[in-house]
Amino acid sequence: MSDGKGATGPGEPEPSQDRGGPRRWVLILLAVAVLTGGATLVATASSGASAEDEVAATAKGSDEEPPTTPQPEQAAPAPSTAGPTTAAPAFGPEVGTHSAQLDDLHTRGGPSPVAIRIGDIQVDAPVSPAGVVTDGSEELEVPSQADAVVWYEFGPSPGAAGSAVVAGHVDYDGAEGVFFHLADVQPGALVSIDYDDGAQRQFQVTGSRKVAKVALPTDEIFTRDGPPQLNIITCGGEFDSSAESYRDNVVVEAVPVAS
Amino acid sequence: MRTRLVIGATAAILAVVAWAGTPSSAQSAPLTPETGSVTVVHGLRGQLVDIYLDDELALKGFQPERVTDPLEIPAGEHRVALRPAGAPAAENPMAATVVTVTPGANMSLIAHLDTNGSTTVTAYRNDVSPLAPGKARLVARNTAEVPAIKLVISDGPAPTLEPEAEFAADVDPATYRVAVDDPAGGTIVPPDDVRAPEGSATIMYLIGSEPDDSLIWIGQSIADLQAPPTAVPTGNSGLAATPATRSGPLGVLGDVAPLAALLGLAIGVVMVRRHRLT
Repeated sequence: MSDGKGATGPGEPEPSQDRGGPRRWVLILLAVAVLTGGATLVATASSGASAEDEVAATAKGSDEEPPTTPQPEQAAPAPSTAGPTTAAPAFGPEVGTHSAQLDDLHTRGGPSPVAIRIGDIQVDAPVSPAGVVTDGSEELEVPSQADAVVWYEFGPSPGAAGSAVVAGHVDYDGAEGVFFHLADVQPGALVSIDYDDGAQRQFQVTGSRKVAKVALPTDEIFTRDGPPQLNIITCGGEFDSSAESYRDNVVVEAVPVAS
Repeated sequence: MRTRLVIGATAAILAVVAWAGTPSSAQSAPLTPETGSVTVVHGLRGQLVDIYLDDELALKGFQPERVTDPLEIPAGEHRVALRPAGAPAAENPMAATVVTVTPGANMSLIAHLDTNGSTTVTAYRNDVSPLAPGKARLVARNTAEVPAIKLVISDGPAPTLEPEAEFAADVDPATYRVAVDDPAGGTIVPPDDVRAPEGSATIMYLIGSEPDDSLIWIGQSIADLQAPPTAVPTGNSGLAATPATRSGPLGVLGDVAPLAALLGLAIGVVMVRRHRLT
C-alpha cells in the first residue's frame, strides 16, 4: 500500500552524511510528495512531521507533547476496510435518469460562428469550422490561405461555457495574414462575432499575451469548462526560417459583453 | 510549534501539487479515489424495475430504456439485485449479481435479457482513457436475446459479437450507420444512425429479443475524454517577426500555478527553518 511507503519514506534516509538541516527535510518531503499519490499527501505531511520529531527526540531535543497523531500505518488501512462495508449506498430513489435512445445521447453545441470583426485592426472575415490535422501532428487545422479564419469546432462556441478558439495566419507564403496586426490589439477593443443562426454577439478584449509555442497551455486555451472566453490566436515572436515557423503564439483574450 | 511545522510542510507539498498540476488539467486525478463510477442501464423492454444495492432499495421504479447519472459507489464488492417495481424486498429477485467496484473504475451495469432469454445483470468496465485530439470512441455491446451477431458499421469493420461481448474503436467523429446481421447471412436489425461526437465515448447496447422481434439499440455516453489540438500553426513567412533580442513578455495568466508553487515553497522553508531556530 502506497500509504505505508509514503509514511516510512522520510524516516529511512540515514541522516549521517549530511545533517543538512531544515532544507534537507523540505527536499525529502517534496520528493516524497512527488513520488507518492495525492491521496497520501496529508498522511505524508503528518508523518513527515512525526519523523522530524523522532529525529529531534533521538537528538535529545525536549520531546514536549506526546504525539497525538495516529501512525499512518494504522490509520491508512482503516478507511479502506471500513469504507466498502459500512458506507451507505451512494444512491437513492432521487437518482437522476435520462433517456438511453440513441438520438438523445449527446447534447448539441450552440450556434457556430461564421464571421469575425475586429474594428481596431480592420479585420472583417468569414470564419469556418476546423478540427485537427490528421497527419499525426494533431495540430489545429488552419487552411493554407493567408486570409482564412477558423474556429475550433470541437470546442465551445464563442460565448458558451469554456474557451472558444478562433485562429488565423499572421502571414502565409509571403503574404500578410488576416491577423497580421493581432498583436497590436489593446485591452478594451471590441470583437464582433456573427453566428449561423443569425445572432451576433460582442466581445471585449481583456488582455493579450505572447507564449512560446513549445509551452502553449493547450488544456487551458481549449478548455470546455469555466466562464465564457474567446481566445483569438495567431503566430508571432521570433521567426525560425529553417522551420518556416514562428516561435510564439499570440493569444488575445476576450469576454462576452453583457447585453 | 508542531502545528506550524505541519502547516509549513503542507504548504510545501501543496506547492508541489500546484506545480505538478500545471502541465495538464486533464490528468488532475493523482488522488487515489475510494469510489468507482457506476452507471446503471435499463435494457429490459417494457418493465419497470426496482434496483437494490447491498439489499437496500437504491432506485425505485426505474423506467426501461433509460440510464442513470453516473453514481459514485464505494470500492469493494456489492450485491446488485433487480425486482419488479413495487415487489417486496423479501421476494426472490429477477436477477442478481455481485459487482466488484475498484477505486477509480468507470463501470456500466445493464439489466437485460441474455442469449437464452433469461433476465440478467452484466457489468462492463468502460474505457475512459483520454482520446487522441479530434477523435471519438464508439463501443457496441451484445446484450440481447440473440446468438452471436455480425456488427456492420458504415463502411468500416464487421466484427462478430458473441453474447455479452463488446466491440470498441477510436474513430473519427461522425454519424455512423450501424446494422446487425446474422453471421450466416441476412439482416437482423436494419441500420440505425448513431452519432459519435469528438471527445466522447458513445456506448451502444443491443437489447430486446430476436424471437420476439424486439431488438433495438440503446446507449449511454461518457463525455470529457477529449484532448486539445497540440499546436496552432498560423504563420510561415516571417513578415511579422520580432528581432531575436526580444525579452520574452510572457503573460502572467499561465504562471499562476508556478508562482503559487514558489510561494508555498518559500513558506514551507521559512516555517521549517523557524521551527529549527526555536
